[in-house]
Amino acid sequence: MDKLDQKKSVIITVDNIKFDYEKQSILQGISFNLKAGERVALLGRTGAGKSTLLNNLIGLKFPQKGEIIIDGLKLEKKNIADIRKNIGFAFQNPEDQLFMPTILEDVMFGLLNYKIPASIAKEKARFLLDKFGLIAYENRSSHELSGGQKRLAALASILALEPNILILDEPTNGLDPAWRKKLAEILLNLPIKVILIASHDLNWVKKTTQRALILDQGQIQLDQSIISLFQQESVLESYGLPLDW
Amino acid sequence: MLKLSLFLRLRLSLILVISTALIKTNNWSFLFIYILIALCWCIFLKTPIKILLKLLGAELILLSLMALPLGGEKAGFLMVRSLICLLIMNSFLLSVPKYHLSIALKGLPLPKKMQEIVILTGEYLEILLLEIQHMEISAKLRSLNGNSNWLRYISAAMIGSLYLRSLDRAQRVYDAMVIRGYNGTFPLEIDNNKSENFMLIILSIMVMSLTFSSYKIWIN
Repeated sequence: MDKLDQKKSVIITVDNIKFDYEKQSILQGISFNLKAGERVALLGRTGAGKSTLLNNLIGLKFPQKGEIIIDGLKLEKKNIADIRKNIGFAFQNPEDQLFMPTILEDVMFGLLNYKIPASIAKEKARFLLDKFGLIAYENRSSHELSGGQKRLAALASILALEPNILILDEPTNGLDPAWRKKLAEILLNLPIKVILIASHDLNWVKKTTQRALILDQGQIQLDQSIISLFQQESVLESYGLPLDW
Repeated sequence: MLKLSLFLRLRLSLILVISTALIKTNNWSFLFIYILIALCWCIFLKTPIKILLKLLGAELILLSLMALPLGGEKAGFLMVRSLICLLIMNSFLLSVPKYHLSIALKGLPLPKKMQEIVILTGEYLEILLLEIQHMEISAKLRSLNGNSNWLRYISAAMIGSLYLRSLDRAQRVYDAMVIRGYNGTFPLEIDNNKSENFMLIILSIMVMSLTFSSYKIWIN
């Protein structure tokens, strides 16, 4: 692959970003690239700054220094709408994402905001709900769903916009093994360029991602393949990520 | 049995309430007709009677405080009229399945902006109620008891916590909306069922005619 091709395949570039919150330095010079076809795990102990980093990637927070380039566009307020169209972001708690009276309307929400005709939006939303086994709940409130169903409904609401990039914050929170398996199967078959998953669920990310970034003390301390990382149990433990706990 | 959608039930309840409220003061015979209509509505909606009576009892105390100073027949008429309105609306609210309030609110015939506010408020109320339930259970599980000062302190702490949680939640929900392209206009799609709309128009005409006839404007 020549240099031009290599540059082309980079979807997300994070270049030396710094983020402070209330005089506390949360991110202290983070840099990494995510290329097309990659599924990457963002690991780190609680409070390491994973959610802050994800919020910076989606433009909910802006770094004080450094830059983020997504699909060739610099993340700035003026082009935030174009960038967000390309990114699907799932919050830690799926309930935050489900706020419409019915599940169907939740999935249609993004499509209607982007002026997709209601009939097409409805058809697309119903297709996704059917795919995720939630079609029977289309006219129900999100409060009536189980934790796993809420997670899938939130995912459907994101995927309806056909993003190129999918960012998930703790996607397996509160899910039992069967739902974790189902979620993994769905993610592995999505036609999405880049998936970035922030998680504490080491066994799950081992099965769903290929590369790991370890965030600690505001910096990316380790960037390597998930297989080799899992062969170094002591390294994982040193970053507060003991296996099988 | 005829099955009415949530929207139609809400709209019909509102029409009945408005019609009741517009009956000519002191026209008891028409009020009696509306009592019958309200009772039929209550039976049709299969309202849980025990809960309904409890609610009406509490509301009646409040009503009497406001109406009694008006004195005599006028207060009596106003109280009965208000009671019919409450019976109709409470019957509707108690027939709404859990968590379907904001779905029902979509049926309100309001301008779009108002409807957005009403729906989001409905959704917010449901979230608040859930949070209150969680806190109550958590307090009960830790055997909440003690003197009234302590209980007041706990209630205040719960209300404060509820406020902070709701702020936090509201911010996250807003972020989720913005990420999916929200630009200040809420995209609402309301299904308009033609046959239900027709039924609503016919029933509205019937009910309003009944109310207007309480003024005896047709007689002359």
